[in-house]
Amino acid sequence: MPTMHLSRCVLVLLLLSSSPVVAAESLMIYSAQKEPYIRPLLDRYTAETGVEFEFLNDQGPVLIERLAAEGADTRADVLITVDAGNLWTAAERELLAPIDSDVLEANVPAALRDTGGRWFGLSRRARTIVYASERVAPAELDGYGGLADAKWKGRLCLRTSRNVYNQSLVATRIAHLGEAEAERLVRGWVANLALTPLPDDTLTVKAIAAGECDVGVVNMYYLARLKREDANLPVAVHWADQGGRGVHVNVCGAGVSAHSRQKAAAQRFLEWLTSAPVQREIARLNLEYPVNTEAAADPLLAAWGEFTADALPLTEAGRLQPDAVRLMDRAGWR
Amino acid sequence: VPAGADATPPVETAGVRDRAPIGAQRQRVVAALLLCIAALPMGLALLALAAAWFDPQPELWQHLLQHVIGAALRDTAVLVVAVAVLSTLLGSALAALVVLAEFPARRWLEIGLMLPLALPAYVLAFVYVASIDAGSPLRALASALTGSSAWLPSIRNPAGAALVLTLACYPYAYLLVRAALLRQGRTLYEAARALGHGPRAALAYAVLPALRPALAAGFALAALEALADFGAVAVLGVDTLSVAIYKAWYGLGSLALAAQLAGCVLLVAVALSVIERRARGRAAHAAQGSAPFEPERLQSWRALGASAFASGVLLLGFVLPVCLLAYWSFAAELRLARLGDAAWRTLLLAGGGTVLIVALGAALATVRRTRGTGAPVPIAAELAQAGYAVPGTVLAVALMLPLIAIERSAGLGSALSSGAIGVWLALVARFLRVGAQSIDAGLAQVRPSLVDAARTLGAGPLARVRSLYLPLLRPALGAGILLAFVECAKELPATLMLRPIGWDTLAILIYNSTSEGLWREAAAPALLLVVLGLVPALALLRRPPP
Repeated sequence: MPTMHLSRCVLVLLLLSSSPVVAAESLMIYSAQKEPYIRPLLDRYTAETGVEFEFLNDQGPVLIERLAAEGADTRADVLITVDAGNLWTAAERELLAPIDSDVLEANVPAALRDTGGRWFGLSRRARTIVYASERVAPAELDGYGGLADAKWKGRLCLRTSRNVYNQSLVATRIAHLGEAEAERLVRGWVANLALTPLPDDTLTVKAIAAGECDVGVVNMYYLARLKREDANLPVAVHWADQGGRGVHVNVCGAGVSAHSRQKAAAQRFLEWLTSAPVQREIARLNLEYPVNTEAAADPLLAAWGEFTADALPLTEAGRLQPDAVRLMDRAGWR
Repeated sequence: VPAGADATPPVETAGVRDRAPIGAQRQRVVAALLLCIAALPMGLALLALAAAWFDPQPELWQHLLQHVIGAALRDTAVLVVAVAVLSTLLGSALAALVVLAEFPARRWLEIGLMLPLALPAYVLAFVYVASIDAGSPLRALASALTGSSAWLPSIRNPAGAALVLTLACYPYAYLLVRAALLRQGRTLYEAARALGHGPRAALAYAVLPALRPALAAGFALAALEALADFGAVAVLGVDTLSVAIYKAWYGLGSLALAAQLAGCVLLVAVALSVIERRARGRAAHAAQGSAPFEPERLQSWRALGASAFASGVLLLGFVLPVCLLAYWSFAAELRLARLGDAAWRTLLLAGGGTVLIVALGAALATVRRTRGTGAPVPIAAELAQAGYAVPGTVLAVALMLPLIAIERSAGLGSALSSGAIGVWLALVARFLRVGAQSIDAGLAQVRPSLVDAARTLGAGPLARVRSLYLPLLRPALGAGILLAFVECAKELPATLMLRPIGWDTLAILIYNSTSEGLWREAAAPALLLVVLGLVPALALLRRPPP
């Protein structure tokens, strides 16, 4: 009977939208990291422990507003989001619970987690310089500051300033150089641009490969993903500022929701995520670096060699992000 | 019957005024109720947007005004005007061609020309950037051959963005004008010819004025689409006001600032819309007869030219991008079960949204026509439809916040903020305008004397709807359903935010891949979305039997 069927459909819809958690143990994940990079990990955890997951995917700022609006009624147990700025905001708005865990503190280096234990890095990405290996000699490169040099005029490609990774990079420049010097640097970059800022890092690498520019700044895993498809891509990586502060690194990180009713289970999940075997899996999935120093990076990345990372705590990058956005607006970085 | 503002003689200048002397009180109550229901979702969002002003952001506003707004206003104005004008010109020229002329492949092109609607604008933008702009094989070839690719024009600027968005937006005018022409029939045209006018003059003086509601609707939809778009302009490197709104929230970290800015844009859009409606007055046009046009058979080079023009547009707006997507999708892993689930969920969410949008849109259009133009009805109606002028993510979050507040105070769990109901409310808030405007353009063509006659013959409101309005509005309803369905199916931010947990629709599969730069993974769901859009297009665009 079609009417019966229809009303059953409606009932299912209503229930679907508000299904109470009946299963023995089930964690609700709010994630800004895309499902393809997370789902295999969730499946593995379910297989190992029997803990089931519900997964809500959206952009970091949206998930933060949602957590804030839901307050004590939230179903979220874990928030996973990319970029220190989002993690910092979530912690600042008291949406994440402080976690005191020896395991997490051992697995995640201090610079890659919140000092108050409210969030922990899960994987580490370096935002560094890439260059056209056929047209640029590595010796010509001189860190982030060097890209402001007039010799790169019409040869530099950057992603748009709307991108949160660029905002964090500039925020760390403000922390290191002070606002005025950082603005001078950014104005130098803008003056050297070959193209209108690009919509994503993949296009930046491709534009270098296509000969439209010679140098650019990207998260290294975008280059790694393209290199995995085409090992002969004539674009190479250069670790920036090795004689100075070191390469700017950022994280994809996670915290336990302040109003989670299953904080212990959520904490166990985070501890599992940062354990060495799982860290190797994360690194393989998204071609980022593991945060756990006991886990090895993917062979493709290992071939790029070691680098010194900027030791500035990521909380600083988060705190200074709105200042960075204003600075980029003033400097005309679109 | 009030006097129209237009003085074209063969046209009966009056909108429908279905106003019964008896039961007027009851009618008014029903009308008010319908208006309230239609305005409810957008009303909630407006409350949230208005509440943002309690959190003033003087310092950030000063920054925006000094460094962002000027350029954003300029680029927005250029883009919106260019897209609206070009889309209306292109869409109505194509509509006139397929209805008034006969040329090779006309029947295929008539259907094919609306297919670009099913491609999300940001997918179209990306395909064009990836194939001819930065980092494309074309540029690599130019660099290899001539040492530089700088001489190739870029599309990542306002002019390029206007062209790409025109390819995405012309189907609005095309659909609506085509429906109007089919509705209007040939009588006016023939009367003008009989009075001694040539074909061009007859078109200009007799046919064109009667198309004004459809042209205005197509123009407004394209303009607002360009105003609210974020995905495509972000890829095309044009910093419009939508981009500034995102920057306020995601970059400067102030949702309040974003909401305030979005509120300002929305008010300006509503004001322009009200002014446009006032200027148009009640000079709606009803056709005298409904015998369909007899298409003029074009000869030799004219026929070829018509075919080439229409197929050129179809090629650029649909065939080439879809071929590229299909080519990319060969390299990707196909997960059919996942695609099937996503297609079924897209149908359910977008189908429900379409039913609501068309029903409430019809109610809104009817109420407006029956209650006259005196405030506050038109203003309430405008506000109910204002969601089309707001960037999707901002509207979605402005709806999510009150929905969460309601479920918390009513103990509803997450029934509203993670469920089909929330998605449907959001779709109504965002796309009510699409339904209302399509139907309004159709109602404008219904002859008031027919309605009067039906009433004189004793037909009640329901009977009038069934035997008068429905048959007469068929083309306009068809256009409204198609537009609403494809808009709902490709909607992203509200669906992402408010869908039942774990429900991936096709648009979300596309987003999951594209936001990580995995464009080839996006090809298969994009193609399936096109197929889903194609089915209603084929079903609804068959001409009514003569």
